[in-house]
Amino acid sequence: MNLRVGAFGRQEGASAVAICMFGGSCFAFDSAALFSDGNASYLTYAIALIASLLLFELLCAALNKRGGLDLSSLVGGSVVKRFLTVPLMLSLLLAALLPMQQCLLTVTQYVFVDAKQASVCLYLLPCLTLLCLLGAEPLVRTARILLPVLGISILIALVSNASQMHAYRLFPIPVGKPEKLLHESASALHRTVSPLLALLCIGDGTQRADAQKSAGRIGAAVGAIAVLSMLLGLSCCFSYGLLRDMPSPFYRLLVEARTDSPALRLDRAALFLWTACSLLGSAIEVFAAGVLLCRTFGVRDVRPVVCALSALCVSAVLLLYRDSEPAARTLSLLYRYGWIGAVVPLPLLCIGGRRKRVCAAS
Amino acid sequence: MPALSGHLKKRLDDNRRTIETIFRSDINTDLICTPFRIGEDRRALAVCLNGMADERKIGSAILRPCHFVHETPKGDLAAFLTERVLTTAETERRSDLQSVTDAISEGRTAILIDGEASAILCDTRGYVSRAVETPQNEMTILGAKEAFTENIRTNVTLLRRILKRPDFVCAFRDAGGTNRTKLVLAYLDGVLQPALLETVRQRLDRIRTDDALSIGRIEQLIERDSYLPMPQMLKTERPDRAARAILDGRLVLLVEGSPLAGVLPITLSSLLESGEDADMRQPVGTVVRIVRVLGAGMSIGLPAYFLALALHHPGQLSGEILETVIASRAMVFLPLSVEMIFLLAVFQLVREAGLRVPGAIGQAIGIIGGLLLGQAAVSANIVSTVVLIIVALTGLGNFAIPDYSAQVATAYYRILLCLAATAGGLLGLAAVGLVSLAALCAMKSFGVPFLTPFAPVTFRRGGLLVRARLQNRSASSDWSNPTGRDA
Repeated sequence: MNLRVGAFGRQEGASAVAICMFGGSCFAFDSAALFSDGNASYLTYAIALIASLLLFELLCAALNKRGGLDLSSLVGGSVVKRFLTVPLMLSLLLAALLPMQQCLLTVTQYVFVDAKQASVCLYLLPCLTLLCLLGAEPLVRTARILLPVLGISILIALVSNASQMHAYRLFPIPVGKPEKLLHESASALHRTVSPLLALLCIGDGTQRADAQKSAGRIGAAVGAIAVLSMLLGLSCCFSYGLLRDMPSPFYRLLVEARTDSPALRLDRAALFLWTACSLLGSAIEVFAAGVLLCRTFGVRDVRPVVCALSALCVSAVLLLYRDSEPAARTLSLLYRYGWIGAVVPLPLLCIGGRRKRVCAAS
Repeated sequence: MPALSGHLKKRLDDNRRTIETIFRSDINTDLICTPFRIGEDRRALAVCLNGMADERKIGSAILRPCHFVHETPKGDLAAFLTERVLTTAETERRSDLQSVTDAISEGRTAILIDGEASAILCDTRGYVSRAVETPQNEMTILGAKEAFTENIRTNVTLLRRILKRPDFVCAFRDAGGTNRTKLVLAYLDGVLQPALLETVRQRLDRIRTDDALSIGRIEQLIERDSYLPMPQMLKTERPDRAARAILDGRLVLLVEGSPLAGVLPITLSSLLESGEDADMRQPVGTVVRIVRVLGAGMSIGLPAYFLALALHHPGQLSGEILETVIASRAMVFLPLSVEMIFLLAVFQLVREAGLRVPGAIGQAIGIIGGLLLGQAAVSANIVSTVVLIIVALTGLGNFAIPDYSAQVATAYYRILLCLAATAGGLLGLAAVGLVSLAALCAMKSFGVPFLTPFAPVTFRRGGLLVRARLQNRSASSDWSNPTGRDA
């Protein structure tokens, strides 16, 4: 089978998770919903992260019991479980397309104001397809190279904004609405669990169960540090009232920071660095979905699959961008309930795996 | 011509006829067949190629001693001659036609004896070759001043003079179709990874073309991912640099007729290292390396970044810079992107012209191209001064890259990024830059990822920017010598 997973180490795996987490969390969230009754973004994100790590540990334990390294080994030969992976694939694709949709929004609203969305997508589609065609090994290595650069750019953005940060803007936390906090945590769960799922889909690349597990943990920790520091920085810079109406708050953070030198401004360079990282994260998730599909349904070559999935993703991005009520509603629904596809099938897969093991042993 | 099969016969006349037929002696007058007698009764024939073999060596080490043999022994005459008569340093007996014709082709002399179904091959090679000279392309101030030549034996000697250790292996072999090109695989036995050696051997075995005549061609025949512009083998003309690579646990490939040694596997870091980096003091070497890496980065990204900002994101440039750009372009009729790509093409043209003409004229072409042509182009409003300065900086950065193949490869990326920046500004630049970076991550040089030790992260003796301090230790481990055996 030509699955192009290759071999990579703990650091590369962790970097891939961190980049996916950054792309998904910094670009893809619904500002209007998140900051509607106060600011608890940093709390809900932390809750979602803990829940994701618990799920990841559960999956790793199940895989360990099965003696497999990738998610498809939980499926076995069961037809029911095979179809349980479909929502997982869709969830991974959703995790890939939401940051791209947000990138498209940022680029067309702030950078190329007169450009049509389709013409911007013309840059995204070949890039995404080519990245996916290269396979997992180059993607995670690229993540390893870009991660320190990304970290430096985040640090610069935060340090430059330090003078404008005020702790009082972190409040009010909507403690009076626990259902709201829970709901936002569940929404954030999709953004935190998808990178770990992607790692598990290409998990055989790490070659050892312990390497895979620590790659997930370290990646989640690094990604969480990056995202939480950005969320805290953002929350300290702008009040929740301002953030609620802000379409791409992280870009605003860059513009406010005005990371200038006397000769040139660097905010757009930083924005496109983040866009590239986000695109890389999307490519990793699309590739992971492709590999899961190939393994589950016995497709022998991943290349046509990832080409099709990339095209599907970019088409969906274009469709969701339309300035119409159904598109906006769909997008809002995807943000709010996308986590269901990622989270619900996982325990079912684990349970199935255990039972089969017991039967085989007896 | 297909590979020869068959063996020598006992009759001398048959063997002579066969060899003359193989070498087309009726039209190929280079073949010299000198008949002589050993003792009173045994006829013999010395066969060699004119110009390839040293006639004085043949006379003094083969013909003259054979004339003094008055009585031939009853047993094995060839063994008697080899042990008691011939005075050449290297002799061997072969009976298959392929070996005999190969030996004659490379300048050795074959002695055929009537009644013997084998030939004695004597080393009489004596063709004219260039003397050891100073390096032409990798000039250094602090390093050694010797360069490889076209003679493979001289090259091996140059390496052996530096590496005086018994585990230094120079494995002679050949590669290619009919025209078997002589090669040497030079490495430290036990330090070089056996898997790498086996990979290279297998790929050399697979070469079927006769075109394997130089190190550059052999590189293309044995590499993977040949569509990528970056080289997968470091080519050096300096024996000290090749020796250093061997000590680091790499393989050096020498090819007959090629004054360059191929070092493999390589990484991006090794392409940005110069031969004399290690000769400088560590802080100075680090500064030089930082300047070099900045130059390389500038040579790849500066024109594209400028184009992206000037064409699509002018707000990112300060007012003063923007005014200067606008003022300098006031009378220029070419669009900015065309102007930039035109000047980059002119730069490549000047560089190529300077390389292909002899020394002093080549330098003159560089000066004329750089100064007069640039000035004239600005005066004629074909190009603007700002773009000229950017292309000049790009050119300087490009020359800071020590490896010629890498210099040429960066030109591809430069133009690609310029086109992307023209089309999509920073978005195009980010998209193409990301794909290019991922493609470099996918590239491997003989199984070693090209961006080692950054991705994948491995042990390393020194970084890309910081030159490692020389330490007084006997062995060190690295990605090229993972066992850490004494190197």
